[in-house]
Amino acid sequence: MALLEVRNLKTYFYTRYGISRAVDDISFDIQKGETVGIVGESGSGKSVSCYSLLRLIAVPPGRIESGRAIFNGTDLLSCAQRELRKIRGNAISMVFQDSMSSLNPYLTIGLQLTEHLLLHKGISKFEAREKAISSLLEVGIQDPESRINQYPHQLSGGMRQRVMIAMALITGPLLLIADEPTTALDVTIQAQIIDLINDLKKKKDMSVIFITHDLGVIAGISDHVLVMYGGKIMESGETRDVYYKPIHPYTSALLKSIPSVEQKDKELYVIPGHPPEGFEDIKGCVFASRCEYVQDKCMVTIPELMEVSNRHYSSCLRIQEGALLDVLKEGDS
Amino acid sequence: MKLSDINAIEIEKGTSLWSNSWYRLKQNRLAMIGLFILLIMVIISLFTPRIAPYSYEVQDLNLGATPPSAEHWLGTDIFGRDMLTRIMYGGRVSLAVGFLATAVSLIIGVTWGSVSGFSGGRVDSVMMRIVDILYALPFIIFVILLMVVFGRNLFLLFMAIGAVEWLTMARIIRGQVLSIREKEYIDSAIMTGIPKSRIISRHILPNAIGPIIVYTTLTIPNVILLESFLSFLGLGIQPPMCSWGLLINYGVETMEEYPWLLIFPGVVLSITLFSLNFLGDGLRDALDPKSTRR
Repeated sequence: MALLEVRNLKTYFYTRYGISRAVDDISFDIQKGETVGIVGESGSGKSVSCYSLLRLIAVPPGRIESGRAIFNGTDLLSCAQRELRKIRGNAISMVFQDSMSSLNPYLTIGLQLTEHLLLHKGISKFEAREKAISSLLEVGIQDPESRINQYPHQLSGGMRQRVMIAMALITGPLLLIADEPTTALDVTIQAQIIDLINDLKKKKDMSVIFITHDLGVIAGISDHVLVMYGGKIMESGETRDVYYKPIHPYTSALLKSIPSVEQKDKELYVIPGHPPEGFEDIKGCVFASRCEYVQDKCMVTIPELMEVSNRHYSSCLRIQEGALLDVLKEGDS
Repeated sequence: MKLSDINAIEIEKGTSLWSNSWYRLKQNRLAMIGLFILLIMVIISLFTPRIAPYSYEVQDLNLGATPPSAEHWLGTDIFGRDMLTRIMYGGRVSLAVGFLATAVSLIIGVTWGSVSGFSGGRVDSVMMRIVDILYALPFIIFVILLMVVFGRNLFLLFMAIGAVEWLTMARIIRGQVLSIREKEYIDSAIMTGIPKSRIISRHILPNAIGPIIVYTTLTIPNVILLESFLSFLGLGIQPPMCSWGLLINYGVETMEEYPWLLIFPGVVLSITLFSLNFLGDGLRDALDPKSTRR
């Protein structure tokens, strides 16, 4: 049985411009000990879907329309607030995007590290302090005894992100949700943080949901990839399969748009058009308007996510018919 | 890691926010002078009945208003009462009103504003409409009502003033909380399963400490003046008891003939308010861990 089973999750935002379908009917599983990467461009619904899982979206304007998210036998979307609070920060932790603003400037590192630990685990302050020191060491922060008395502004960006990770892992969660944890950092620190998450994941045997828009990062860290666009899952499968044998025109186009060192003379490929804002009433495939292989039926039929080959799903009608398979593979090579 | 360590070269050895803040406050000379003056004022007020040179109520009509002299350092008022004594007694009332009524308004305003701002949505709308309605209610009628229902006493005066002053405080706090709760560290605190009440008190309010302190130092003089206004209407302190506000009021009436009756209470009130402002500024800087002033 999967650690987390998400079924038909829909999160809509009711704004004055209309209804925005930020997450529109997505389903996926997270296995124990597995890292799942969610990729997509800005506004594709990758963050909102994870925020929805823990009911962190603002209501109103947002609303979780339907769906289930069974985590260890509890439906996160319908359980009582009290139960949810026990899961948050304890069994499921989250690392946020911007390490600069994710630590409270008025509280010391030590206090922020131990507050939820004391709350969830019912241990003494002394034990919590010891644990905070060891968890800071674990994420590679030197001299943790003096660091825990410091305030966030006394730490560098990379160290703050390490503290965030220490904070998320200190309670020994089963699932870590990392929402673009490396976006605000420079490339060298980025690599360190990714290695760190990978190491700790293996050591603690936890599952990770890794949200990013950086395909390179995903390749390095995840076992399984979900490609999201316009609030829907376009393609999902083993990382290797998705990279080398994409079975959705969107994934293929994304992979083509990665700048490459070998082809520096060629003009960079761009996907024409703009991503949908979610207000449009789209009757067919959300990607149809930008797809190079679009046909009339794509505009009128909403495609389902279907298994095309072994554990490799695509929501493209034409792929499901058996067309395009070779074209997409070539486009990538 | 080598590079990032540079950021943290200056490692503070402090342990808690309070000890760090006290250290920073001590470095701020103006704030320390303010604190010192206020402490002296408070001590004098506490011991006034023992150390006052004369009685505040016994009149000496033969003496009348005299300018400062060796016997009466700050002169006497038109009834021949010693001004120094009256200012000392007035300080008891004014400081008590200033601190207590402000404390009342602070407690109600901060609680109301932070709950309203943090809850948002419908709760926020209802709570803020209540504030709007109370704003629209004429203050005097409200106080008179309170006085009529509960009878006149000093404690009620504090409550009445506090009950009016909290409205602005609530609005200011709500505005602050609205902006702070959008910060990622609040999401992150919610995410770790910390209860709402604790998030407000531990994570949000410390971040709003600057505006809270600044507005508090503005409220205290406001409250002291409100008290004199109420006393002037006969709703507050009754003669022969006095307060700084009342003394200034009387002083204004006779300022052409007996200017010292206005000058001395005015100077004392101004010094107090200056001290409060300096202390407030100092506290605001000292309580901010990012503050560079040291």
